[in-house]
Amino acid sequence: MSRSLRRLLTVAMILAASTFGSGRSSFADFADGLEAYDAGDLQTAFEEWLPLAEAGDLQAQVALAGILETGGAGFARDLSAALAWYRRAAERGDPVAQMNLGDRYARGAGLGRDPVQALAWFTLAAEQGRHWAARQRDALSETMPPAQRTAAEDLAAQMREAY
Amino acid sequence: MKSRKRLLMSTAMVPMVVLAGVAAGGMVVSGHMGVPMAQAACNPCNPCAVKNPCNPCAAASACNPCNPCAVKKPCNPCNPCAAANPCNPCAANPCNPCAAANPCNPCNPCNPCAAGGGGTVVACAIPRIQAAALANPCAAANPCNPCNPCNPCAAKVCNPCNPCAAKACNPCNPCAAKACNPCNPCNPCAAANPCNPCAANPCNPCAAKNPCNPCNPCAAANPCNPCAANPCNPCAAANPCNPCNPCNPCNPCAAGAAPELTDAEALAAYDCMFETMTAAYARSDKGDASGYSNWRRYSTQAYVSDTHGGRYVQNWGNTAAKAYGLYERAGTFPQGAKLAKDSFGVNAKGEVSVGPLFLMEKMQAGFNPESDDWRYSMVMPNGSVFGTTGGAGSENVAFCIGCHQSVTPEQDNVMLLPEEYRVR
Repeated sequence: MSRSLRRLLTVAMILAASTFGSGRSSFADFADGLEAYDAGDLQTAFEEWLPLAEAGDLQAQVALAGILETGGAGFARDLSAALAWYRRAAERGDPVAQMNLGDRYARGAGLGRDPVQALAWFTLAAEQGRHWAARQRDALSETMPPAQRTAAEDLAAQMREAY
Repeated sequence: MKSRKRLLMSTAMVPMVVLAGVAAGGMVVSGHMGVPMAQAACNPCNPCAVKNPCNPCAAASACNPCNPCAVKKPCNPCNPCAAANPCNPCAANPCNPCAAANPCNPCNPCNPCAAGGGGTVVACAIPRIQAAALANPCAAANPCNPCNPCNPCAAKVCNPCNPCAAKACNPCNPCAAKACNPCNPCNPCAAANPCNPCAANPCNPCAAKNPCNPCNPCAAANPCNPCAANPCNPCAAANPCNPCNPCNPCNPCAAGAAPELTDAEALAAYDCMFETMTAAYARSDKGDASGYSNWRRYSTQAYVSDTHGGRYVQNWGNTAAKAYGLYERAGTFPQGAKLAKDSFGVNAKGEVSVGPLFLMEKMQAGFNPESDDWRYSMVMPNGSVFGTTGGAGSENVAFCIGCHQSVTPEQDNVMLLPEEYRVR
């Protein structure tokens, strides 16, 4: 085996090991956060999930949004922060974040009511197999004029391309 | 000539000319239709008008309950679609976006008290705990406190709805500014009254009797005195305005403590939250998250479960889990047995929010020896399921196995509820 090939293999092994290692560690952090959430310690869950969410971990972003949305004993709600995390995850294609963001737009909770945005997000989540989102999409669509439905389809197409 | 021009421009003549022009135009247009268009469309006897759901004449009658065009006016109180339309003020929905003009509407995004419709349900708040939190002077930082000058709903200083107003001596009560109020430091009578609780006088004889009075000169020696360094002073519990009160959001000790509800409060809160909880869990694609409420309930009411984060829970079981009703004598559960706990949390402000749904299902023998073949999962109120034993994210819910194995082997990993809340 040539020296350059051996060097290439070594680099590949180090890369694989570091990727695997960091994956395990962030995985463990997420589970720790979930255990804290289960135990009602939302502050610890927040502290475990925040760095993961900031690093781009989708499930941490959605989990973080969830606890910021509801709050709990000793942990204050922050709806605008929750929406920001939902949006971040939704724009990267997370279906749970998409349906929750759609729901916010549909109800005008925490942000202005926007049926076009709502329908677009419900559509994207439904495409990924979320039945609840599909039901919301169908119900909302029936109440909207054709022009708004078309606008929502266009918006969904743009979002789909973005992630 | 001048007089003819004056006649043509007179107030009587101009409308006549305009009307004649409109009539002529109408006839020209209607000539293509065979019938005068405006007359046909607006004539209630016109059979076409009845069929046309968007009959423009209907629009003029905003309150016509049969006018489907009213849908376009989402805030029309006569809109027959009211029930389905979230924008209709007739709808019971308090989140009506038309209410934006009302700063006190709980759904108004500009209302600082508006929870935003998150997992917290304003209507289900616990009045007793809420009142205690509001009466707390630390609540000034709380935008929802009616005493907070930034609360737009509190604009009326002597608003009788102000819960702080009930207590005349409450320093949060803006009505207390009246000169005769014994708590008003500007009241000339206050200074002379040795028992005036507002008096700063440390020699106040009334203070001596009250061990928790910060003016009690024995304060330093009294371990029960809220002035003492110990922020968890037990005397504080009785005083909702005391920063040491465990129910006080300003209390550093209170951070992790959920207020304790009476049975009646827990019962009412659960009833109030039930629909919100089931709707939240239904976002999940886990079938049992929607179907559990059709199972049998084994608890008489919600109770605190320390093993589920101090949340209030109820126990549900499917038909295969009917042995659960035997509690300690239930034995080993058969394959297909499913148990669920729905939950809600209460914070120090008395606000109630949806908690997770805890599910466990007995799988086939050999499914997972570590969990004695139980499959655990947890559904967050936003529909997330981050792990299922033996499935995706199995490691995330490994802690469930460890916790449930802490019960006696005879209980087959199943946690039992307090006897006083069991359905017999």
